[in-house]
Amino acid sequence: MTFSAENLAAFDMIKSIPAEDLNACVAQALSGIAQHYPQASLPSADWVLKARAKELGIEPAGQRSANRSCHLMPCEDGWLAINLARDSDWTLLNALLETDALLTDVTALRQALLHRRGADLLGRGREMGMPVAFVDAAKTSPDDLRIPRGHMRPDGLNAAGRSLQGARVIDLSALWAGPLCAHLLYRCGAEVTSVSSVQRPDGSRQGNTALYEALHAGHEHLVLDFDDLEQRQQLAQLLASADVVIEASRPRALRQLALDRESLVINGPQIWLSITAYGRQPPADQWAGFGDDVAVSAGLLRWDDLGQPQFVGDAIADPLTGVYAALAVAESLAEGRSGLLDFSMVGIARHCRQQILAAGRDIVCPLLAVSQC
Amino acid sequence: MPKLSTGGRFKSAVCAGEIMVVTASEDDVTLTCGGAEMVAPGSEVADDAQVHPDHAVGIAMGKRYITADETIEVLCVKAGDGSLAVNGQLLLQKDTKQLPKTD
Repeated sequence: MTFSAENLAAFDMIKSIPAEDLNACVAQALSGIAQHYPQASLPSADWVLKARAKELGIEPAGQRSANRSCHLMPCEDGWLAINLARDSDWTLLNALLETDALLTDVTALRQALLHRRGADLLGRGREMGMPVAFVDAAKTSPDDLRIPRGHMRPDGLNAAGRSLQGARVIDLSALWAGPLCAHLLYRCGAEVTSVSSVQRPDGSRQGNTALYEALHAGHEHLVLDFDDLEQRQQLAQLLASADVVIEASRPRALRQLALDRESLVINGPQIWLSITAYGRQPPADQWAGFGDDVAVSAGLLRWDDLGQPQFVGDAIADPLTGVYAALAVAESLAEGRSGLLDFSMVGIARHCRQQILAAGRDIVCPLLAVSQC
Repeated sequence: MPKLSTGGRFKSAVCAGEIMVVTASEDDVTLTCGGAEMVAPGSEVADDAQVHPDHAVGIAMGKRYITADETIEVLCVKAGDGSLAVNGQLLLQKDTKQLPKTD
């Protein structure tokens, strides 16, 4: 199916408008949603980007991410970003670096990386399922253009446009991007059911839960045992009859449970939003990524006076992806589309970076005063 | 077989499986997949090799496998039909990864 220029909807037009900073990118996406749902009470761009950072009083510091888990570290040929978000990521460092040296703190890790080739470690780390990213000495992120952007518009075209008002949304995602999308759809009138597994609870329900509570307000909650055949079947039925499905796992996860889009018999026109770090195409479908490291892969970072890369924002690829995904769902429903929305966080982060560069601006951190950037 | 070293890679001689060593032990051990000794990544393997039926549960990408005494741990980097064993003892699958508190 091909589309003429006349068929291009607001989402595509928004994408071509330069934005002076990340706030403006988010504001554009929010106003795109508001065009369809003028009555909806949508959050501000500031809240979208800074909700968690303000709550926790955090910001990027040095070459460390705002949430303190992702580190940009100099190596022989550039900088490697490693997100040590999970305890298990620390336990893989020795295998990544093929060393028995004690790597129990960031200082030891920095030292160990200095004379290593980051480009090699990137490939190795990805194969190991570690959230890693690389910026080379020429200050380019090798993935900047190599990874396909994904499909931000589903292929299927049904005659009638649909509304989010009363639409049934099943949200299988965790952390930030997916739940933010679900929350925005909820604010537009959708009925959202958040499904989580007994085996793998959403980590953002631990510790400070303010953002989790805000993003899940008004949602139904369903906790299922994914090892139980009956409960999997129950979920399969829910997914099959949903107007919108949101999931943010690597494709193999749902495939293994036979809960992927191809295994289900979908009952009617449906938008299936897939949020991944690097898209659904092999081998990138196997790569792990979180908001800060993915942003580095997309080149969405800033350079300080000493020529060192610095993170911008708090897990920045997450909120950006969440808000653009909500816009894409709203657009797709309005246009009467159905099918897969293939959203990669790297694609969205790259898109926002390009919008800002197109406006002739440098990337600045939305959490720091401009004078500090 | 070559001594296990941290970060070392091996492939199965009888299925598509590949692993990386996360924790190595000092002892000389025999690491098998599908009942056959694992080999270096570039090695030639026989086309008609079969997975031993007692070692045929398979290994899954991204999953970690460990000896009962937790001295040796490996990470599956390519799924396969064979099961892993050290000195004939099947490895156990470690628990599912938890999502981080923040991302």
